[in-house]
This record gives sequence, C-alpha cells and structure tokens, in this order.
Amino acid sequence: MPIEVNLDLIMVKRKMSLTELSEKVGITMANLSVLKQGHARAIRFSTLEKVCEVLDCQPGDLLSYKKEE
Amino acid sequence: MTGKTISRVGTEVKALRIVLITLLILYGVVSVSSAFIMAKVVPSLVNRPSGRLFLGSISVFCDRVLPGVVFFFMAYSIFKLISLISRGEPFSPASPRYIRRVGYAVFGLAAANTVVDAISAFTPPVDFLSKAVIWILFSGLNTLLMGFGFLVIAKVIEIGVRLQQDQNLTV
Repeated sequence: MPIEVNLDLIMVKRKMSLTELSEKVGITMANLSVLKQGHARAIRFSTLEKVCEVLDCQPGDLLSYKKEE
Repeated sequence: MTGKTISRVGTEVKALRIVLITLLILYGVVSVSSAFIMAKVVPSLVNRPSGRLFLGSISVFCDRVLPGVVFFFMAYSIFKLISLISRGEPFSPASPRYIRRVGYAVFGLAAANTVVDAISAFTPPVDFLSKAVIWILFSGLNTLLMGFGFLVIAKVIEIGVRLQQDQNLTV
C-alpha cells in the first residue's frame, strides 16, 4: 500500500511503549500492532484523533504517501 | 455479538446439525431399501436385449448410485459450513468454497437426471422427438438453475469474506 504509517518513529520520539500507548488510546495491543506494522487496511477518524491527542502530533506526522514503483 | 445472541445462534446451529443428521440417516435408510428393491428389479433386465440391459445399468447408476454419493458429498459440505457457523466464523474464507462445492454437486445431479430422463424418454423410441427433448431439458434446467443459485450465493459470501477481512483490519 502506498500509505505508510510512521507510528513507530513518533513513539520513539515521544519515548512511549506500545503498551502505554494502547492503554492511553484505549485500543487493543493487537490492533495497535496491526497499525504499527502497516497491515491496517483502514483507520477510523476516532482512532486517529485519539492517537494524535496522546502522541501530540498531526495526522500528517503519522501517515505519509509514497508512490508505488 | 451479545451473550444472548451467541446462545441463540448456538441453539440454531445445534438444531441444524440434528436436522442434517436425521436427514442423512433417513436418506441412508431409503437408499439401502431402494438398493434392495433395485436388486430385485435388475435381474429382470437380464432377460432383455443386451442394449437395453446396458441402458438399464446406466440408468440405475445415474438414478440411484451417483446421486447417493453426490448427496453425501453435499451433506459433508453443509456439515462443514454448520461447523464454521458454530465456531462463529460464518465469513471464513472456507465458506464460499463449501457453498461452491454444493453448487457443483447440484450440477452433477442435473447431469445425472438428464441422462436418466434421456434414457427413459428414448426407451422405447419416441414418436414425438420434440416432446421428449423438452421434457429432458425442463427437468435438467430446474436443477441447473438451483446449482447456478448456489454459485451466485458463494460469490456473494466471497465478497462478504473480503468485507469481513477489511473490517478486521480496520483500527
């Protein structure tokens, strides 16, 4: 998929673990892991909103578009 | 799904299983009895000319033996489908495969029916060819339509499986 999720980068910057993020955002570790590894097919606005709120970032910081060759 | 819904689905699945097993037992009893009856009828075919005996054997095979095997194959596929439903995975990737198998089995039944109808329509040779052909086509088309319906349902379930996977991967 040309959309890449940069969740791991932001988590490193904020020094936050997956467990801590999942507790603060209120979604399961499994779902967060799917998102982090880039296996997610879609993300709800509500989830994006919570992640951005907890990590204090913009949706653009989390997602990026790379053209497929 | 709530606990109440799950328990209701569980009861329905149990009922479906019981109905399927009862039908299978009934079908087995009827098949065995009809095999005994056919065993009494087939020796009378021996007195007929060899061509008729051959057609009679094919007719018995397509009318009794082949549908029996196909029905058990269909029952196995339906049983697998019920198992998937009882596990709470009706939209598993295997579901459309089982439904498609039932569809192909129905096509097989249609072919067997057509052969049996053709043999009975043309033995002895008919006066009105068009009447016999229409009779054969009509009985075969009903079953073909049913098989086609199963294939369409399998396609719909396949799309459902894709939607379910999308839903599972939505965070």
